[in-house]
Amino acid sequence: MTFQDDDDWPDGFADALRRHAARTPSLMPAEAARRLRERLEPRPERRYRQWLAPAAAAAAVVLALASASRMRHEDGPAPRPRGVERSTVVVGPLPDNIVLWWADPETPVYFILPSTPTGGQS
Amino acid sequence: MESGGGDTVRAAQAGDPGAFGRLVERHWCEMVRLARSVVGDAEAEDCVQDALLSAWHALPSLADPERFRGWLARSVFRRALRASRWKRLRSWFGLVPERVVRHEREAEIDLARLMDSLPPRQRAVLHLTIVEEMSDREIGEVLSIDAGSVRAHRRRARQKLSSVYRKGDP
Repeated sequence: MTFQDDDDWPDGFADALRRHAARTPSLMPAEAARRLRERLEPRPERRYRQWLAPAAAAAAVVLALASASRMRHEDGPAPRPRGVERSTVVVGPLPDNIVLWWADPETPVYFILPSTPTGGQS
Repeated sequence: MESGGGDTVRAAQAGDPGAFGRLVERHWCEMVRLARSVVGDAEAEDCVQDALLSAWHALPSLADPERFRGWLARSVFRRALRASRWKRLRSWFGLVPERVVRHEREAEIDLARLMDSLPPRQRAVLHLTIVEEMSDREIGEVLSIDAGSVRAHRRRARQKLSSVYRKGDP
């Protein structure tokens, strides 16, 4: 290419620039349009992911809390609540409160506090 | 700048993604060429994708559907210009190599180096003048400058080319 110092472009410069610009894009027009349409129209699985991620995060928090709660009893069984027998089954109206108590660090056991002194039977 | 395809633009404005896809197919190559002239190969297609996504959302605000091509080109140019500034900033801090795209032919390497030596607006003016054969008024619309500024950019680009060619080191 040689450059003539006038109003025209250097000899061959315009053709070289056109060739340079005519290189094929890595993405062809049809493929570009397809990808763009895909980004414009959210697919069902994308909507599914929208609530799956928060649900997974909530589950992770619950597991972490349960794990932390169990770790508090690593040194041995927690004391059994006073006046509560293991495997008490309550017949009749539900008692006022329900206690979750780990007799064994590995096995959570639910105990139900009877609302009346004679309200339960084994 | 006339673009034709007013009906397709109007359909896309009404929310038809298929019509917008046809517009993308029609203008993709031209917009990639424009972005390449400003920011180079590596980031050009990302700029165009971003501009098209933005265009889809802003399409209802386009008053004259016949001017879609110029409207889109203006958005592509702005994004490419911004990307070019970031690229230059990153290269100053040594975060990116000087050239990341390999060209097969020596002449292409020379031309790429020559174009890289010009500021982004001058590169865009050269590209739109020589490759897209636009008028100064059309180029001004894309670059958001007046026709006189387009001529000034082209004159400076010529002077720069002249000095490079005189040195025999394009």
